[in-house]
Amino acid sequence: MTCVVPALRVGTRYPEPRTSNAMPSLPLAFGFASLPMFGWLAAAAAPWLIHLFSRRKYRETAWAAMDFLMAAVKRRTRRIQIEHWLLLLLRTASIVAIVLAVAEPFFEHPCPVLRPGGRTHRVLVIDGSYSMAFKTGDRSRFQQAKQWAARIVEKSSPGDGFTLIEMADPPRAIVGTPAFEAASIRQEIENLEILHTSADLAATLAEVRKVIDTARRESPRLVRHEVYFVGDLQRGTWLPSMSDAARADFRKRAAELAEIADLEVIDLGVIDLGQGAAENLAVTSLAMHDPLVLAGRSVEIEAAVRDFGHTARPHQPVDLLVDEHPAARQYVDVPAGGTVSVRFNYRFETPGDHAVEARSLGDGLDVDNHRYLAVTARPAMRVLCIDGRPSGDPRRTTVYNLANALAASGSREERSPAEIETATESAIQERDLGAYDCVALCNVAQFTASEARLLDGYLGRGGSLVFFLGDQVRGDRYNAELTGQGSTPAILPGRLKEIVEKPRGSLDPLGYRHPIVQEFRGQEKSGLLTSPVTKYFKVELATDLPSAKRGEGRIAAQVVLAMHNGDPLVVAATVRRGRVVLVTTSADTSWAAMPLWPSYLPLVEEILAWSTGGQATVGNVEVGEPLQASLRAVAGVASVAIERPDGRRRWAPLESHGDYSSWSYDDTYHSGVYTVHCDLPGAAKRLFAVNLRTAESDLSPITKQELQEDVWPGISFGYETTSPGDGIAPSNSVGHSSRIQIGLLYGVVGLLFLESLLAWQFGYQKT
Amino acid sequence: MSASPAQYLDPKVLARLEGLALRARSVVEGYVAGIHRSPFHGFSIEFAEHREYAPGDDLRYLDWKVLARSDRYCLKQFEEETNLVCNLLLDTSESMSYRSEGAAMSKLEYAKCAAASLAYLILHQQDSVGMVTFDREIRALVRPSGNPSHLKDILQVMERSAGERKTATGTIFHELAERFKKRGIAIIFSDLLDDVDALLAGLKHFRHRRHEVVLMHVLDPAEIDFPFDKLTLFRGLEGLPELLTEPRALRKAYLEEMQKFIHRLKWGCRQQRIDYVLVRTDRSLEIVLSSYLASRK
Repeated sequence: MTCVVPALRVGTRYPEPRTSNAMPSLPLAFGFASLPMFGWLAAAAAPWLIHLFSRRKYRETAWAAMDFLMAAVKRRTRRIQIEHWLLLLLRTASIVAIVLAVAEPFFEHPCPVLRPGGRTHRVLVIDGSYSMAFKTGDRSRFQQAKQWAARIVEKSSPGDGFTLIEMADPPRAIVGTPAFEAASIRQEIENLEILHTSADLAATLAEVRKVIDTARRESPRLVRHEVYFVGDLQRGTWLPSMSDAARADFRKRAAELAEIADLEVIDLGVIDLGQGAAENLAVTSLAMHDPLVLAGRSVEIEAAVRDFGHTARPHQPVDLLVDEHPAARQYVDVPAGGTVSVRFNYRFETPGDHAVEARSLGDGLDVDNHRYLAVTARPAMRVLCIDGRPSGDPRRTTVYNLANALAASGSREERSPAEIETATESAIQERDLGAYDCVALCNVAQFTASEARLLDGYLGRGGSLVFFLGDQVRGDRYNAELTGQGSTPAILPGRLKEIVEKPRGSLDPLGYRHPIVQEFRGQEKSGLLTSPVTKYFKVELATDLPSAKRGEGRIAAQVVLAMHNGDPLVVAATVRRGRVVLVTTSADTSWAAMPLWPSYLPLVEEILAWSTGGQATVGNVEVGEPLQASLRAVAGVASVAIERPDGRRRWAPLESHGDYSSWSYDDTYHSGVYTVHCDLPGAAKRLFAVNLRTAESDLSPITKQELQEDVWPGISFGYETTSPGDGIAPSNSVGHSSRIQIGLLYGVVGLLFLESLLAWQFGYQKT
Repeated sequence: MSASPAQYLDPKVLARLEGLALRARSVVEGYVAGIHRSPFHGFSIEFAEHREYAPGDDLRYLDWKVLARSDRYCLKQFEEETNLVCNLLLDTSESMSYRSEGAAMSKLEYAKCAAASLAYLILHQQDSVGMVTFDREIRALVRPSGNPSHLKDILQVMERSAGERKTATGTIFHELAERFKKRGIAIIFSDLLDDVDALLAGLKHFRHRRHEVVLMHVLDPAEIDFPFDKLTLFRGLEGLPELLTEPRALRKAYLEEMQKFIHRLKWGCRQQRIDYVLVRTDRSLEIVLSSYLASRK
């Protein structure tokens, strides 16, 4: 039942944040959420029935002093009647007030203060990004946000529904359908954990809309919807840089949401004003200067420290920890709003995985003062050269020149020779490719499906493949097995086409954009561009392939070096967790004289460095990205155990792919080092480093005016905050659903008290 | 129906009254020498006063000593001690039959017990006692006598008295005041639920005839306290109408009316030097009587 009464203009609860056009003078509608309760209005007749019934039930007695009784009656008849009527009216009014209270009356009005009723669906959106870990005193903003949310639940009326969304990237609907038990929703709020991600407001709005649509469909008795955004109003989240079209779309979605729900922003960011809220220091990067790490060899580790505030930080200590043990400390002067790099030299004594951490001095936001790096120290670089045309004379083999060049490469600085093994095609199936850092496939005629699967598995484990072509190569077979046409996903960064002979002109480095050729910039005398190529396979890049357009190939191919006519000569691609380099000519001198040119050795060195560089980063991801790896398939091993940074242990099932198995774990919303244990015999633990996207480290918030004018212009929303030192003090923005009910119940108490008082005064109570 | 002394004479009450003789506070006219003063002076051993000699006086009472000292003719006068004559007036109207749940007996039964006890006491001290029962007219009259067997007659009269009719105390008191030739004590047992002005006028008539009057106002505790709390139908006695009402709402007004009534009675009695005794029927009779008699000493 909803009746519309004449329009009533009222004041706004939040005069400052609300725009003038956000408070239209709408009709005041009055209704009840529980209409069946009106059946109890019949109980209001009870006092009258009791009165009438009592008139029929009386005691009798003879009476001598009748004159006095008659005189008393004569004096008080009129007053007695008035008292009777008054008491009956009070009793009736008490019952009516009780019935009205349980019928849950409500007002529909744009002013939240006057919207006290109806079953309400409250969507609690708590900012779970890591900036909420910023601490003021002994409490973090996230703890304050949870207390706000719990207070909202506490102050709500019975029968209200709650959903809970954690604003992150991506947002998570913790409670996606309305829950009606306050205790359970409070428990969910209590269990909420901060995520080391940023926050995606647009995606959060979409999630809120989805939740409200679900509530409207499944819980129609929730007649009103309120969305509470509880967070720090970080500029990067609420006012991100986006295109005009994207911003218009975002505002349109927000306006649509505001039409079906009341938006309420609870700003926890302003409480830190005057306390350096926007001051924050973070370690924004940590990387190995050389992608290949060998045990016993010194490596350079570089960390970047950035100040996100407006205060310079001189003599800021930066610690390097390896396997949780302090390894080095340096002091840097960080300019206000600037970034400085810190370089450490460290030597990993033992081969295997190591956890490296760079740590700056703690501040209000500790989570971004750490950055992690998982490093695999190898005893030596091992390269397997598959010769497609073996010969008894090593000098006549295809891989002779390549092996010599590889043997001269290795660590860039110390020139340690790589361990080179030469083998025939059968080694692909006979040997464990995982034992090699790089596999060079030279003039291999064709690959079988099983060989293609093995190569795919090797790439899945972060392996490095370098293809050299030649006269034995059958392009159709390559295309059939290695470009995703068969059962095996694409491996080659392109499809082989016809052979081009006697090309003209010099080579084109394409602006030296790719790391492989960057070292040749300004070194034209090295002969790279004048290397003679007499034959090569024309290649259609994977980005042009139909499979890649469908997103099936997952190959990001880039031409490193091209012929004068633009045909690719060297193509590099990242394939799954590995890297592939395709050289469209031969490794020996049959199709090109490159091996004889002085630029050949540094080119091979760079190809080796780049292709194996992926292995250094395979264990390092950002929050939200899955941890993935492949293992040699072993019967009886069904899962791997993952030890999270918080000490909790999880399991990831192994998915079999024939000769190897893979696992994936995607709950990486906390930064730190994840340790993976496998029950494989002889398998060592593997380390993965999960790091923050440090854009969230910029704590500067938006202002109320920006929220009003730039984020949600023209959209009606409420804004609340608390002053410093107030702690948790949600204002009256919540709990108004029960205000009328509480008022009525207080009225009932008052009426009952008045009835008792008057009955006592009138003499109707026993003395 | 024979009267049983034990019905109205409670041994405990009588034992309590032993020694508490009903001594007439004012002068009464007796006809047998007793313990009470008589208005008639004559021969006696207790000197009263002198008066001037008048021709015709008996010279035997001339005080020669005074004549010798002052040459004046004075006669000696002596007080005559006589027997008390007490009339017990018992209201037997219908209103006296009321008895509430909190009372052990009705007002009439209580009044009968009190009257019987006093009659026993008076006869026991060699005085005369009479009995009158009345409502709107005199129903029975037993003339005063000091014969111990007279108690039986009084009890028989009370036995025959049952509250059935309306009362008219004013008229009755006027009539009895005229009938009682000899001055004495009139003890009235009644609830006095009648016209107060007429009642006081009747009492005034008694006093005019030089009777000492004791008014035993017998009321049921319910009539004084009005303890009813539920809806009640009050059936009026003595022909008064019924009334269905909520007693809790009327209690205060009723008590005010009752107090006003008692106050008028007390005030009227005090003006005429009449002893007013409010008797609640839930109180012990022995205490009521002994207290009053003790106060007369």
